[in-house]
Amino acid sequence: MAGWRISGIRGQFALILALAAVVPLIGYGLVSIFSLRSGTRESVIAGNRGSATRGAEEIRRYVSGHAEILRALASQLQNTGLVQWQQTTILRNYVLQFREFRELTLFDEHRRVVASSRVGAPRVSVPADTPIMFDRVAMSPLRVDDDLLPTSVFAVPLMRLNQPSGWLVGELNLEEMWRVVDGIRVGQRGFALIAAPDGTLIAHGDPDKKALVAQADNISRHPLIGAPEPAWRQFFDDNHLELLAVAARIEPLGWTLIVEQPISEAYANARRLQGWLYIAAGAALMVMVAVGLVFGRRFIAPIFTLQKATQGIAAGDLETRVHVRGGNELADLGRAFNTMADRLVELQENVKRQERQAMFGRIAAGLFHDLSHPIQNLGNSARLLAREDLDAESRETFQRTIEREVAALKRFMDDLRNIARPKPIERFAMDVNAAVAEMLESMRPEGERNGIVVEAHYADGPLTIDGDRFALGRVFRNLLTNAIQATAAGGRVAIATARAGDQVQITVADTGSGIPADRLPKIFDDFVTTKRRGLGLGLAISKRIVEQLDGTISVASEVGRGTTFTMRFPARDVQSQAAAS
Amino acid sequence: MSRFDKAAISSSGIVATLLAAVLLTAHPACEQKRPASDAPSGPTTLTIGFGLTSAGQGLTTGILEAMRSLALERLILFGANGRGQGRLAERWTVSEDGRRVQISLRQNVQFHDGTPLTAAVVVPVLTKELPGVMGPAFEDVEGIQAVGSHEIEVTLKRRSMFLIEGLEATIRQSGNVTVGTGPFQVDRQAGSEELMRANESYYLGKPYIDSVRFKSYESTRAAWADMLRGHVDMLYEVGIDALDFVRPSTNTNVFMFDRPYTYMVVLNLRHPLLADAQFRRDLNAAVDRDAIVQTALNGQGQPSGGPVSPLHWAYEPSFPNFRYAPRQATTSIKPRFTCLVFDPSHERLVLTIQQQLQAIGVDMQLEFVTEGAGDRLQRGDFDAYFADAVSGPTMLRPYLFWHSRGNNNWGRYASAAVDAAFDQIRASATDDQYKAGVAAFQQAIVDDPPAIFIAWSRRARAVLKRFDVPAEPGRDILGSLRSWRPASDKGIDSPN
Repeated sequence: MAGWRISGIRGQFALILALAAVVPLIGYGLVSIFSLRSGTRESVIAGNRGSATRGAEEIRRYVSGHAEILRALASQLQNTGLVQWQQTTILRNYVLQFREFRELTLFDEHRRVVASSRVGAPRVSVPADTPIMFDRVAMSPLRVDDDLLPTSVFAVPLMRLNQPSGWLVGELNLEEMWRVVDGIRVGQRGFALIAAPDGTLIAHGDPDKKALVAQADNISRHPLIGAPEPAWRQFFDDNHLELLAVAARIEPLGWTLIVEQPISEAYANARRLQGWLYIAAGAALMVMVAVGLVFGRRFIAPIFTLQKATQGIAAGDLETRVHVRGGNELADLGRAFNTMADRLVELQENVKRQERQAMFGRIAAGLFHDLSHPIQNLGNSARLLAREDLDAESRETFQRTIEREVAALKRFMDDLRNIARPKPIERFAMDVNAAVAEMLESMRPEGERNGIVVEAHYADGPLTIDGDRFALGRVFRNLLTNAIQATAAGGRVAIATARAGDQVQITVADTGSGIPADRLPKIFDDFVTTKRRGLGLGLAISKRIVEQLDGTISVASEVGRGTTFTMRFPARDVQSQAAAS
Repeated sequence: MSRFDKAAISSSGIVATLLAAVLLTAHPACEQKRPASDAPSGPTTLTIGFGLTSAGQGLTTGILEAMRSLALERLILFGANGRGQGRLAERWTVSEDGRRVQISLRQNVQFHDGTPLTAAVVVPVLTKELPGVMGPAFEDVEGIQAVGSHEIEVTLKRRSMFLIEGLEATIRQSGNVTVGTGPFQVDRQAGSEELMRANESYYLGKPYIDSVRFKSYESTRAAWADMLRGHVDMLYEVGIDALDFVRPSTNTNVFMFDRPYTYMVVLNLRHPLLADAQFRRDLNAAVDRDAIVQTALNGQGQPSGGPVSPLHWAYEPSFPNFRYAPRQATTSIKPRFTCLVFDPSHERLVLTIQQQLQAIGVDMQLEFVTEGAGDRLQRGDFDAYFADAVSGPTMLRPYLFWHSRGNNNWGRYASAAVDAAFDQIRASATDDQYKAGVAAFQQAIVDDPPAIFIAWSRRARAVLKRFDVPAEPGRDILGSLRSWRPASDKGIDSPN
């Protein structure tokens, strides 16, 4: 129990230390993780948005740059007096130089072909639909070419003397633009895609998703199509892959460039850091628990020492002291403990001294009480015997008195010797009825002298026990003597024998003053008596004798009504049977 | 927070999103594109997409070659290095004097119509095919006889290596040009599609693929676009522009191999200007082949120094070559001629050549020919023409082009030195003699070039990864089509 408590204290101490460290750590960790997450998300979004914005600008420059190239080419072709083959050569040189143009064709004001980079028949025509303007260069909306891939054409109006003189039309190779889109990457798995205002997919940086362009995929359901800038979303795609997407508009084309990156990659660093944070927090917790255990043990050690010393004191070892070092509160406690132990020793010595003094007084008084009357009788009888005029009868009476008192003194001395050196018990079969009758005969005269009737009641038949006749006689005498002394004249003292099952029972009852209930438990202790005088050894010796004979003795008393002592001994026939079996 | 944000972070949102995804997936509008061919569990069809070159002229030579390679087999199959390996001919021996060639046919081979392959069947085929295959060199053949059920003897007037190389002639059933002994046989034609089915009784075992569909498109780009749409399993040719987009795809494998085909501008020596050997040398010197390979071919090719394939065993890098050394053309007449162009995909190539020739003052006009190209060539109605022409794997191929009486010598090229070199090759009895003849040929060509040699072509084919393609580096994967199998069929045993 004590060990459990110690462990509990130690564990609780370590727990307190750990909690003291962990609670702030957890708080700090939670704040850190929250900050890390939100910071990372903002950082990743900002980074991806930067990529998208740069990519959008790159695409815009790609398109506008080629519009500019076409415008520059137009300026070379108009009003320069070039003939058709020269124009053709220039167009072809441009196509070779700028792969982004699949074809360049010059039209006159009636939209008839004048020259073309194509070896065969031109495929482009002057766009009729509403174009997007790039500084006087018109760009047609996206259309699907003969190969069912998206394409677009630039057209530059040519002027001669401020009058329309024709068109320079170039077919933009959007697949070349794909290379630009392919170059817009975030991480390993983050790709860019471009969608037209109606959601038509124009380009996709993921090699496996370029097919969507050829399939004329429409992504108008994408959450970022049409979303106001700055736009970002975190969502699951059709393959249940969680994506982080940011978008940037490509003006004036109206296209949207979207950069998509799997969340698992976008936040990979944050998740890795988070993992390390968990590990660090766990390690810190373990270290704190270990430190708590080590320091807790050192801190609690003096308390354990005090506890052990206290247990030693409680066990009676008043010499137990604790070794005190330092000057803290625990050291003060140790010093107080040692002082307390010193005081306990002093108090114990005082108590013993006082007890010895009281005992000595009681013994002296008892000796005086028990010895004064016989000695006085002996003295009187001896003095009377010395008289010459004493008749024979009186002389005989005084001689008997002297013999009786000497016998009484001898018994008293035997009691004293029994306390100092108990006489060994010698067991023989004895008839309790006979022993009681013999004792009754001896004690009846003393009762009569005190006006008390001493009587006996015997059970039928012999009641044999294994007993010591002389020892039991002393017990009976002590009990009868006490009963006579406690009983007022006119009272009765009765000794009775009985068979109680396999035991023999002897009771000694009187009609005396009785014993107060609070003193009953101690009347069999040494030097305890209810009488005003006497050593109080009679009942203690009686109990010891009874128990040596395997018997029991008990007392029942009621103040004012009398006291009954009951002794029980194993019947000899039962003992014989038990021995035989 | 937007709806998508919530969906992304709350469990109910996740459930809702997943549910929505499931519902959307189940919706017919969201149905996945069907693969080009049937599922592997059923009959397996491989769809090959071709871009037509000679617009409006039907199947290209490439498609025909591909179909022939699957349907028809040769007696001897020559690898890219020009070394022969027995195919329908189990072995062949040449007599000491070189005038008798004994051919042993493979046993237990039958044509698609069930006819067994025997010497009696093959002899008339050879008699018919060899003149076309060998050209003037066939004149050396004295006779072709069956000397056993599977033994053929060819007697020659003189030793001829070109006979051996001519044995790469395809063997077909008489009267039916599409019935051969190959692993696939022509099934039917429907619109722009040709269908071949596996030869159940192919002597090396039935192919894993049940049928092959050839689907033609207006251009290689259109074929690629249709592959992106999932309608094609294999691109016969990945366009130069598309290569950079196809290669990174994780569901497609790209296979590259060098072909014994050379891009060249064949010159017609009837043209007074082009009859001048010095002018032709000037033209060759004006071409920066490295630049062309890098810019016009995106690096997919190898500069060509002449008509001898650098893959040929007899080729030596030390052979005389055309070097880029542009110098102003010095001619007595205005240096202008017209080059016919048949394939629109060659536009950038010819424009680049045109640009480079312009740099030395030569005006090479370009004429895109959509119809009657063959007739014009046969008639000699051209100044020059641009070709991606076969020039290997054996020397018999350049022989047909550049021998003064060669079948494909439409430009009337005649060089005594070249003819002598071919004679030396033809009459060679050893590798050294053969190699010496090749060196002489190369020298003669450099001295008197019949064409502007540009580059050896490198071809890229792309196959969806749903097919396991056993590929050998540098070799055409079509040669192993019989061993292709659906990717999920890895566990099945070979039918061989």
